[in-house]
Amino acid sequence: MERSASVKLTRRRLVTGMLATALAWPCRAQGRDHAVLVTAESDPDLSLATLEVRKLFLGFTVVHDGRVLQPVRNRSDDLLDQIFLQHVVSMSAEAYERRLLARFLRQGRARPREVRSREELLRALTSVRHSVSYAWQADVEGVPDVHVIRTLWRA
Amino acid sequence: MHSVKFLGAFFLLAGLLGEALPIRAEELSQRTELLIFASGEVRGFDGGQPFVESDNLLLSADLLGTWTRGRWHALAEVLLTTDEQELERLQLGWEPVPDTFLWIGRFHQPGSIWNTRQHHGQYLQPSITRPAIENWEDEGGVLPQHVEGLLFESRRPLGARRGVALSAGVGISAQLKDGALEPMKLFNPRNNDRLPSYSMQIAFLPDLTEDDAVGLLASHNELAFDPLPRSDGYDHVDLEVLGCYLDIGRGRWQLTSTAYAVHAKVSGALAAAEDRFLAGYLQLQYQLDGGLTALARLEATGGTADSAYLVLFPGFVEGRSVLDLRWDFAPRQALSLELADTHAPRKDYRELRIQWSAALP
Repeated sequence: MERSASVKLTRRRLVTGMLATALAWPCRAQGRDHAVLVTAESDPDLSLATLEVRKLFLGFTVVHDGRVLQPVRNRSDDLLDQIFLQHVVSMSAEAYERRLLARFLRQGRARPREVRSREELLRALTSVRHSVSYAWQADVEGVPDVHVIRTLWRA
Repeated sequence: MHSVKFLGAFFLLAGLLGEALPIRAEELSQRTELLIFASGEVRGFDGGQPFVESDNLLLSADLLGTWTRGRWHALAEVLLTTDEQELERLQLGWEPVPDTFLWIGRFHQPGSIWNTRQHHGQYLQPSITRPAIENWEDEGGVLPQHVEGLLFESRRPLGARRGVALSAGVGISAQLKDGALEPMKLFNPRNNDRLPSYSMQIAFLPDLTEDDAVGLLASHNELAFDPLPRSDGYDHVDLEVLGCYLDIGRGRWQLTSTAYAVHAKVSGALAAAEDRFLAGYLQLQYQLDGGLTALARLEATGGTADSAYLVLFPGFVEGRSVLDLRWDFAPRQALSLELADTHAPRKDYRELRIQWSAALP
């Protein structure tokens, strides 16, 4: 039934788009106008394609230069989570949940680690080897050892 | 001889894939996870209790634990119900390249698309019951579902977005005992006269990252009778199954269908009988607003009259119509209502089921 969620997703995109526009000013004011894909990897060539990022957060094994990447879901902010669902995995929260459960049931695939604050995110990025996550650019700017891979969304 | 060839091909394929894109041994990250699929079901029957059903209240908890370290994986699934307690799956796996696994242990045979997708996770299953032809061995199922041995699973890209999925299993098959199939119990094996099992599925995936698939299924199982000798002179069954399936979603609709052609040869030193029959189902789901999902399923068989194999299963279901309404009323929790009209050779009956299911935590 995940396809059916795409109908919801179209509506959700509209709602999220309007929400994002409405929130753009306060976002800019709070430094939340750029959502970025981040890692603590020092590899300057870590330029993940959109499909690879989607696979990574859907529970597939994604290997870059022999390293198994570890997804970290950042649930510190509702708008950031909506941007992740829309721009990274392209499905509703319910469909994403069911997809992860199904992958776990079929092959025992671990679901992405979850963090619920900026501090937890920075700890996960630096302590979990080869981790990849996403964050507001303002939250990771100037943080040693955390690198921006690319921009996911901008207000 | 077949076993030797199969195992040879199995390890050759594994070796080739292992060289293709190795994961560095030092890049290890360990994870463990536990999940419980819980359910409670109340059921009623009109026209007499079916042969295989016991109580009208069924509580179950499917405990699923996994461990991952680098390219190594372990998975254990234990089912606890008011009817039974059983180790359903216990697999140790190696992932030589991304999304390609070699497993050893007890697994669900890949010749069934329903069971390799739903396993015992009742919450994720769209209907309360599974199609009768996909029933577990202890629920009157006529096709073996649990195998102990080796399992190969791979999902590979085909072009930019499409993909192909292949699963193949080889191992020890079930026995025929007291009108039912009985798979080997891993920690209580009665290994006398266990015969081999081979099964596979291959699927085309329109989108590698989605669950939509169209595919083929095949299995060959040799089933020994227990105890022996029997008065009819039979001592084993050669069961060959060929199937095809599709599982496609479009918008709010989901269409799932499988058809099997079964060839059974019941034989012994003094007697032999052969038969062929067809079995399949067509299921259509529609997602309504408010977390509701409606489902209709039609199950049918053909050529089952005078089957020397099916006569061994007194609870075999020849046809069934199923209607389901599911309500996902809270995160990871659902209530379902199911009505079914069942035709079996010995009696027809109607069923009503109400179920709560959840994935915890």
